[in-house]
Amino acid sequence: MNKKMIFRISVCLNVILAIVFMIAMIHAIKQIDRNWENNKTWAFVDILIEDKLKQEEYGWMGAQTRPWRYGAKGNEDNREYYELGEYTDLLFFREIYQAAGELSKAGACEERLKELKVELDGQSGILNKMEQSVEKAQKE
Amino acid sequence: MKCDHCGAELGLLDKVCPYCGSVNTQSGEHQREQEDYEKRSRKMTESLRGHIAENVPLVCSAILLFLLLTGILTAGYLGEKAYDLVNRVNAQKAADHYEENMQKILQYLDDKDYIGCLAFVQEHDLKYCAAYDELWRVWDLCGYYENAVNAVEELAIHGTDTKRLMAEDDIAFRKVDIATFYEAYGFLTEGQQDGYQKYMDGMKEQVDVILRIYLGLDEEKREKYLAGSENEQAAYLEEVLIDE
Repeated sequence: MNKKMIFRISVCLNVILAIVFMIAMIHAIKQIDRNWENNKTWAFVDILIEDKLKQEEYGWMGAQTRPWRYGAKGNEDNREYYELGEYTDLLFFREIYQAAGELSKAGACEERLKELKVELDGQSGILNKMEQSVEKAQKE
Repeated sequence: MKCDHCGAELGLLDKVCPYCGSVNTQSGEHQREQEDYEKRSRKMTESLRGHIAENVPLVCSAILLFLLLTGILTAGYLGEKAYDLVNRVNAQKAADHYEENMQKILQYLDDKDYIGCLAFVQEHDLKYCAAYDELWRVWDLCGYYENAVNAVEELAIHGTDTKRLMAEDDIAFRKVDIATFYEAYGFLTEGQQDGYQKYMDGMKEQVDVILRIYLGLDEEKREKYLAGSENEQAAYLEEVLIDE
């Protein structure tokens, strides 16, 4: 094996190691960037939310969009879906607060529902369906 | 050596005497030796340079290989330890803002916003800070509470035209969250009496209300439901939640 051959082998090795090094660095940076974890969790919600709306899985929308209302970063393009989810969630909790006698919290839900109704005025059909579904879900 | 003409001291390579100007006949041989030496010296320098030039790429490649290997090991170590490092930094930040954070946490709990409390804790990585250890049972239960609430909401709230292809599977999967909340409440509150007990009781009360409203489980039915087997629980939920 002459020097030229050894040099060529070392160049190939260096190319491979350079690729491995880049992957290792990206992995390390992702580990340090904690936001990456939160965004990863949200990715499946954004993928499924449109289908869930078509399937009328309003409860799923209400529950799974809740992290966005508590500060998780979502996809701005899906804002309307998140707000539809919020509408269901508020309907769900309003009944709970009323039954528990927490009228001020029920009132706060009512206020926010009115705001959302105005913001989502193009979705009145879906909002009505959501209201019907929460009403139907009550067994008491 | 000495000048043949005037006897003055001459250098080995002096061609003429600097004193009388006569030609130094003895320097010829020394001159030739000097030139020969210089010639060999130049040849050797060129040969050495040639060798170095030939091996530089290989040496550079070897150095680069070593640096890349070191870089990979360093990046790998950082990747493994980064999570711990970030947790440590966040834990220190959490400890530094203890008073402020505790105020917010208690505000959430007093408002019975248990999910909000959990979100705050997760956002600020308070779970990893020893200063907040007194609250671990509350946070733990908040997690089970959120799962139970989500389970009921997802199972119970759907459109009238919903074609739920996997309703039984959903029930089988989510019913565990409801039962687990009550189990967690049981073992987290067992033998404990502190200022945070009321928040854990508050969570249970709220879940009781949720089950009553959306699953038709009043106190008596709830106890019977929770005491039943997994199959009995699933059967009850299917009866209540799946439309004919």
